[in-house]
Amino acid sequence: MLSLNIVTELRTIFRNYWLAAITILLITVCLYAGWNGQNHVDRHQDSITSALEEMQEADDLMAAQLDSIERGLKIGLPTWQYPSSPTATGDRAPRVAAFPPGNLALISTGQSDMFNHYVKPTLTGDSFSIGFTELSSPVSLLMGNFDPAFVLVYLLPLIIISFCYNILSSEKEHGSLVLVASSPLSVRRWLLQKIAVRFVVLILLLTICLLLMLMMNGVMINAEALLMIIMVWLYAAFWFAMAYFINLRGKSSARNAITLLGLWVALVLAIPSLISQSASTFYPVPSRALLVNEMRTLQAELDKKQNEILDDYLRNHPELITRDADESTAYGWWQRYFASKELVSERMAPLLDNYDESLKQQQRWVNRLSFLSPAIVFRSSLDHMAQTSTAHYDNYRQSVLGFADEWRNFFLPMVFQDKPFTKAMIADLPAFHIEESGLKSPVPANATILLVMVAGLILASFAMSRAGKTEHLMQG
Amino acid sequence: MSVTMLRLLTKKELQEILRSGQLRIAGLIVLVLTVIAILVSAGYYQSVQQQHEQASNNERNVWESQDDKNPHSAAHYGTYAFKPKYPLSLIDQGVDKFVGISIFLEAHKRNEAQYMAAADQTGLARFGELTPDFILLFIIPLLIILMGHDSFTRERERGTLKLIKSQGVSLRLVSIAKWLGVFIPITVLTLFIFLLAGILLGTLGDFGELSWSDLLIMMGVYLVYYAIFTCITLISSSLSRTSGISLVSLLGFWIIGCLAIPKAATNIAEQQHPYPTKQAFDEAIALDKSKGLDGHDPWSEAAKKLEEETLKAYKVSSLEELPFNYDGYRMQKGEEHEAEIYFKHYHKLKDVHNAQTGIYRKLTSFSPYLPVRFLSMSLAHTDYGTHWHFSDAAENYRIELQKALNDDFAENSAYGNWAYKADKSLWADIPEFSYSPPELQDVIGQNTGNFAALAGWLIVAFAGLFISTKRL
Repeated sequence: MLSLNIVTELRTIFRNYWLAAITILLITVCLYAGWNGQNHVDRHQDSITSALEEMQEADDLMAAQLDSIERGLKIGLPTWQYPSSPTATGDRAPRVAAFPPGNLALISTGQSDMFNHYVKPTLTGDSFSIGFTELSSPVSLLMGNFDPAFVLVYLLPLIIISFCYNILSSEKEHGSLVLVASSPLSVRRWLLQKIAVRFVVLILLLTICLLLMLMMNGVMINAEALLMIIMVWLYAAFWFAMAYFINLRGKSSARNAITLLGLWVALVLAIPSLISQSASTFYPVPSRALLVNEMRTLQAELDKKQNEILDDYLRNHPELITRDADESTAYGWWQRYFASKELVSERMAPLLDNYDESLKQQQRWVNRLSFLSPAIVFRSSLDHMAQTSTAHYDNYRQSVLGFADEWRNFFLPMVFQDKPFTKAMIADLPAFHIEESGLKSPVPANATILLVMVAGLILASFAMSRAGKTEHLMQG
Repeated sequence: MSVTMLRLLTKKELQEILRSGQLRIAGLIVLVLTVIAILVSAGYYQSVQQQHEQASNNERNVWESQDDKNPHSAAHYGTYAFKPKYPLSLIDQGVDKFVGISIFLEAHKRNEAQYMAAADQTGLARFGELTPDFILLFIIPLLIILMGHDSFTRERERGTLKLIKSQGVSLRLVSIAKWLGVFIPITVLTLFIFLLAGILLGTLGDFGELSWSDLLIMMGVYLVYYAIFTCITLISSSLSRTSGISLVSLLGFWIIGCLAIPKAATNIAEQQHPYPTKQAFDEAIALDKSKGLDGHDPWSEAAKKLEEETLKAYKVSSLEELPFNYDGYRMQKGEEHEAEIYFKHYHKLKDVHNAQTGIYRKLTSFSPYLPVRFLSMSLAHTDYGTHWHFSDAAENYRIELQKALNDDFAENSAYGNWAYKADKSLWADIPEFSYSPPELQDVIGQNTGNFAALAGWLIVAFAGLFISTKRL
């Protein structure tokens, strides 16, 4: 009976125009979205590659210039731009601190359209004023991208709903449900088998589409890519389980469609927007406008106290005192400059920490409530695997700030001890790398949440039918 | 006869809709969400507006309380322009959270607006937020679909369509009644939303002057949008075999029109007319700048040329003989040259923005959402156009500010006298930055394409309804 039911269901699916329609639709949207995603990734990768190439060329030129200087030759630059001057090199030969796209970056644009992918921290630049936001059109940011994440999070559930909303009700409406009831199979199991067949068919189709999309765009099919596909299965399983539950309630096809679509609106649109709104309402970020004020007041205050600052600074950095600071020389000027910069940074740090803290609180609030919507859980997993999540960009930002300090600390002793930058030092210049340790993967927890949701729905359906609430299926 | 009949039919449709438990619940949910959205937005905007005003005042204080100093030091010290909020941003926050809120105005450099709110939010915010525009643009069309998707299929499923036909009632009249049955409750809801917003805006002082005509036009735009959605819903209902199919197709239309096409438009626009990266943009400017006059670098070729030209024009043999401080003069010339470079590069960027807007505009024929989205943002002064307008105004102010400071330096000191300090009264003499957004007629003028697209949709939707119900 079991195999007969499955065979019949398969036959029904393959004879129906729905399968052909869904196949064409899935292939088209997946490939189009993948193409869009890859274009976006290519643009980022290209910008990084060309920046690195330019840096290499500049380094070669700098090596040649240093070579000439060390051999006592003249180079065609004003002296303050000589690469042997540590302040010149610290500013004019910055490293490219890049965040290259991950293997699965094309899956989800995430925050990658809003933030930039490389910065060049300099010796005299303030860490807190490094701009991490990309020059993108705000209209694009508002509308979002047609990327695979959009297809999977928003469209896939609708495809599943349109595929499954009337499995039981249509039988009932055609009068064939009585035939099923006369067989030794319970309606609950009969429906479960039918849904399972549809699930397997759709999953197979979807997996082929996704693999095709990944391979066509040169993505390496590794464990992470397979994990991504498993997450897609789980998300799809949630919507199939939901369709099963709603079908079992035995309402009309129209009613089922309304309920399922209502759930889609609630879970994919309304709840995420409510949670996001509540996060920024309960944990508002302090005003950036007022931060500007604080920064300005601080600068004005420090401008007036320059000399005092240098004393304090040298007291904290005795290793840098090699001779008395002399205000009249450029050397003394730089000392005051860096001393006041450090003080501004120190005083700004607690203010800036407030922003990070608010954002972290928002994120914790969102994580705590994410179980309310499978769309949030699924989306955050996709963003994580694509390495385009807020956490990834935050981690990148922290790595850059750490590197900016490292860069400054490399040059400062030379500035303060009045020593030249030499050709031999090029090889010792600090190199940027992203600290991965701060990133915790939400995928296992998210997968568990989705699994629990699926299991919960199936159990609830069983409980409903055991409680005799499905007997009315036969009526009417 | 037909008027009475229409009234009777409409009354029947309204009663049916208002009696449906499902619709009552859905309507109630939308109403509650709307009220929450409006109140939360009002709170948010009130605080942002206060912060901006406070920040502007503080910044002006900081500027005016500078000591006596060289005008060029003051120019480097700079000042900030803060972008104000406008009343209708309560209803549509548009692209506001994706653009910076303040621009640093300093010597030699045009800066981008800093601190976009979205960068201080979690990735979830990209899903959208519960704001009035989210409800007006996305949720109310869904409510229309829910209300009207079974208008005809229901009659067909119950077999009452044949009865109606046999009664000799004109099907066109029935369709108009069904249309009104859906549209009237939606109009009431829309009126309620705009009235609530209007009252809040009128009573909360911090929102600035509310223009009722802007509010009414905005409401009109949304009502046209809903009229279009009502027509399309009824068309689908009249063409579908069952209510389920009608609902699924309408949702398909909704998701394509409101989500898929706008997103695809973004990708098309970015592929065909990509924005430069921030670094590429900055480096192109730096390169152009390095080729020309730098006010701080009297040794460059451009500086030498300017020196010769100035000496020739004033018929003197040395810079000391000039009737003004040549340092200040060169500084101003350098500033003008740099301003030109910025103008050129920002102009290029604006061309890219215009080309991208062109792509969105072309796609308005495939999605009624797009023209409404753009019109609503423009009327609320939260569109990208307004941001450009603000950024250009800030740049013009920056240029004037630099000129005032350089002129003071040139006129009141001798060549080489970098120790010159301007009296601190100069800071207060320079007028404060003030900004007014584009006037209503300009907004309308810039949006004729969107108005036309919306009108086109309305005509096609009614024509479609007329044809489809004729064939019932």
